[in-house]
Amino acid sequence: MKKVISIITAIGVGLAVVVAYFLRPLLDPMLELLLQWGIILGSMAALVGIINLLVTHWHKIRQKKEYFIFSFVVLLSFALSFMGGIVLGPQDETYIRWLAALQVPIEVSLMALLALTLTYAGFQFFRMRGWTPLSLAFGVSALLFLILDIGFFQALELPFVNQIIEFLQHLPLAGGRGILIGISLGALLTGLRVLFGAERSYGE
Amino acid sequence: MTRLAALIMIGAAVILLAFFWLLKRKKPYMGLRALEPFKALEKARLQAIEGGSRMVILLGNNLLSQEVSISGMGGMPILKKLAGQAVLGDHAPIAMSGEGSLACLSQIILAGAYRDGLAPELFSNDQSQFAGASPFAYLAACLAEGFDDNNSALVLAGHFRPEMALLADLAEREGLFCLADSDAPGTQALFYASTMHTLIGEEFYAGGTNLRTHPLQAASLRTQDVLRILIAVTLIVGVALKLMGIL
Repeated sequence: MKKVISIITAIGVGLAVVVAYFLRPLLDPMLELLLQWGIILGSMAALVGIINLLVTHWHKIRQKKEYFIFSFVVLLSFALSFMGGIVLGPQDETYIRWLAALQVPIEVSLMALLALTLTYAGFQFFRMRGWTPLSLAFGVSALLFLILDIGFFQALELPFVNQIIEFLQHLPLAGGRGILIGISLGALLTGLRVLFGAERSYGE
Repeated sequence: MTRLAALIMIGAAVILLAFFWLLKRKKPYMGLRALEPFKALEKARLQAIEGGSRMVILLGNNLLSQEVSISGMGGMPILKKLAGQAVLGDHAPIAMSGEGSLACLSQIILAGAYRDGLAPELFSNDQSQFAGASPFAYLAACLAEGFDDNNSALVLAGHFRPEMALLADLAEREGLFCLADSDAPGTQALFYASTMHTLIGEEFYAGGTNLRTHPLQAASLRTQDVLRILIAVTLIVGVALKLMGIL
């Protein structure tokens, strides 16, 4: 019974949102209401997720799993930032600066590490993938656009060269659009499967 | 105009979906090519069962947060299938999500897989983890899984940002099987450079078909192919007409 109710709810709400989208502005109030419900549900899910995160790390500490010290760090940092938010308020400038001072350096370090990792992956690329047409096209285009993005050739200000560069710089956009069309079609079909009740992540 | 185009696309998709579903109802997967990364995933799954190791399925960090995107659901069929097949394994598979609603859905799917496998008592809530609220926190939590000796495979299926390439690279260096799959073109390129088993473009949505989760998945893949060809032909004809000065 529970399963049937969740299926009917999901399909009903999905259909209502689609119909409301096509009958705008007539059904705007209904669309807004449904989207607000969605936001509330999403926020509740985030809260449930955070509780899950805390419980999982608490279990890791209790069971003394490998690297449980990291779980301890997670819980301690969560407690400190949560208390800071409660005492000072989440919009407080000192609180935001305090959090950013911890968060930003860590994120920047990870990005720097990513740059190094990708440079290394670039060197290892052909060894890993072999000399296939796809890997060759990938490697050559990556190198070509790295060189073009330096801006050296553009600085020469040769009209003919600039025209070629302008043409070349359209290629990634065209390729990206091709990939996005494929992905959008996939998203459309996934949505339809959810509407038809064939994709039931909400009630398995 | 946009709404009319959307309506035409949805209508065409529904008609084609119904057509392919009815046409191939008896043998839905016949004639569809199997993708290499999924063949490798099947091998990795069997090795994980034989070796008594665990598979970690990473579902990304976007469904209702940031930009609302149904692409976050892309990993769900894969999770469902892998969880169903590993119910009685030595190490239960775990799902890691970077967003609350994904974490809730993954928990429902995992619990359902254990119920379907007639072993609901083996399911533990720890198998479905909300790994981190921000993309970098999620990455940090997932990186720890790369060092866990109990893990033998990482499956990334969902919406991922480029920094997740660090995890794919770590998996390669640690000798873990890694299937990396994202709906973001930039991240796909980085995955392609850092790990062997990657999916490109619309292959992102082929997981359910390759793992044979539902017959409608196969019809959906065929519909995608036909629509893509139609769009490509329309674009080429449009460009030709524009060049001829008709449009």
